[in-house]
Amino acid sequence: MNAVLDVVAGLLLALGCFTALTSALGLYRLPDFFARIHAAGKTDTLVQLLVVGALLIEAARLGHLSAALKLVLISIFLLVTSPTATHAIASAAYQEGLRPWSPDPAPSEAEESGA
Amino acid sequence: MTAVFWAACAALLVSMLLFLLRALLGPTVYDRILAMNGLGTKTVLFVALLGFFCGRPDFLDIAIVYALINFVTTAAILRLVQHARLES
Amino acid sequence: MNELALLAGLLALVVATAVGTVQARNLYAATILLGIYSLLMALTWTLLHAVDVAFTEASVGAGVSTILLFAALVRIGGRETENQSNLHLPALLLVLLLGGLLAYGLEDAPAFGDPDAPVHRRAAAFYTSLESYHLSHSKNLATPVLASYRGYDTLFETAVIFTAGLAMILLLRKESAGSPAEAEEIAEDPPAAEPDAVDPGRSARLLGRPGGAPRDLGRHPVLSKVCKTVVPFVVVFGLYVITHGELGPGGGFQGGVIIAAAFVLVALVFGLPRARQFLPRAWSDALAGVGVLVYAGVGLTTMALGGTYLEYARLALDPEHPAGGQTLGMTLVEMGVGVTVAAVMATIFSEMVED
Repeated sequence: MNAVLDVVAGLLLALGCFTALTSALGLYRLPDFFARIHAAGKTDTLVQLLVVGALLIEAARLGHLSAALKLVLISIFLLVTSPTATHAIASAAYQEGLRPWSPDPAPSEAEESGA
Repeated sequence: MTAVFWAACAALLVSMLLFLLRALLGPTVYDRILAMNGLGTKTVLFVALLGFFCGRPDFLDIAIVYALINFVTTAAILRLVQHARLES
Repeated sequence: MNELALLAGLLALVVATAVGTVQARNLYAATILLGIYSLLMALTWTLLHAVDVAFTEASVGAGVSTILLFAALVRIGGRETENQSNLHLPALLLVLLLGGLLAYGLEDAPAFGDPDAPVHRRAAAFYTSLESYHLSHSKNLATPVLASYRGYDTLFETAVIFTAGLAMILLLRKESAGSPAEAEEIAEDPPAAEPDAVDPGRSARLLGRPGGAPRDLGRHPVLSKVCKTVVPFVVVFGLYVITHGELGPGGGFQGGVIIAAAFVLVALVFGLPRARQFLPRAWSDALAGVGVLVYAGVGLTTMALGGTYLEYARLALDPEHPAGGQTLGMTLVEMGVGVTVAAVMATIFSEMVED
């Protein structure tokens, strides 16, 4: 049973780290601000859920009840605030006049890309 | 499990490096704020991971502080930048 | 070994951030990088198991000081005046000399984590044998050291913070400012075009600024909704940190800063007048002093009870068990510190933004 849990936790952790690397690469490589926030914003929440999930399994396995509780607290808090922060950044940039990049010279009224 | 933990820490560190590069390169202030916010989330996860690996669950308190402060700082900086821009 | 590799990687990031901060010509960028620097430093402290320092660095360095620096920038405009000569040779030589001397001096320092280092043989042994530590059953060694053994130091640190708030009021507060209607109007001189905002190399395009009348910043439905939900939790967590300092990481300073962060968040999202409804100016002015008085009063009380200044054991209800007195005294003192820090940080922020 423990071995199975370990494997599941390891898999979640590996998946989370892979996603984190992908998002970081996207943030670094993509050409304009809205593309970058697209890469960084959504994955932020997913990475958080995966890593905290892995740690929760570990906490349950070790019997750390208070640690598990705090992990759930962190996860819920990030689940609420991380998309909010991303949305606020995107809308602030849009308000200032930053527009998503598009190949045609007159950029259409693009949809606000928040998360 | 230990090897997985180290690999995870290393992966988080590498992704933090890329976030940092974006914060250094800019080009707009919003890119930097975005990078800072992402770095904050990565730090929360890093601290939580370290707490488990080092057998110090009280590290989770620091992770909570990071999560709170990161959001407050991001929101505050955004509003202040907006003020500065709108006044100009 | 792995841990050292991780530490080395982290420190490399720290150095890169520091260089970037110095290099940045745009002050907004430099401030954000400074915040990231604090974030990375706090992570480094965590890796070194210095939990309380990490706590302080996270709440003060990455949180409040970044926000305060930003508020100051908004006031003065975020552009650095160009320096004519980039290289100052005597300064460079001096820095290199000093760095070389420090590196030379480091040769004599004991190895990292060496159990025979003097600090472990003498200071640490002394601290862990402290009467107050054993009496209070504290799980966190840092709190008895700060609040009990070095109680005078901490008292005067609190007084220093109080003085900082006082200086801020004397410098920035306007006589007539009763309750300014538009407290949020900040920058007087327009920050000139950001050299940072336009980048020819990348495809991001800036299509002009929103001209005309400043838009109402108060209408950000998502942010205000989330802030309403989050702020109570931030305050409760701040109180937890203040009162829980004995058992885990944290204490009055960190908890006070967290509560002040909640005030700042409300002020920036809903406007300073709204935040002042929760913490009126008269209250924050008074509370800044009350915290110091509570701390000093605990000391006087122990003297009145026949002990020396800040001898917490005298506070025990049951003289047979002085541990209760230790716990009570340290909790009271931490609360005093927390009240002062929260009030002063709120004062500094609002004096800076109010105009």
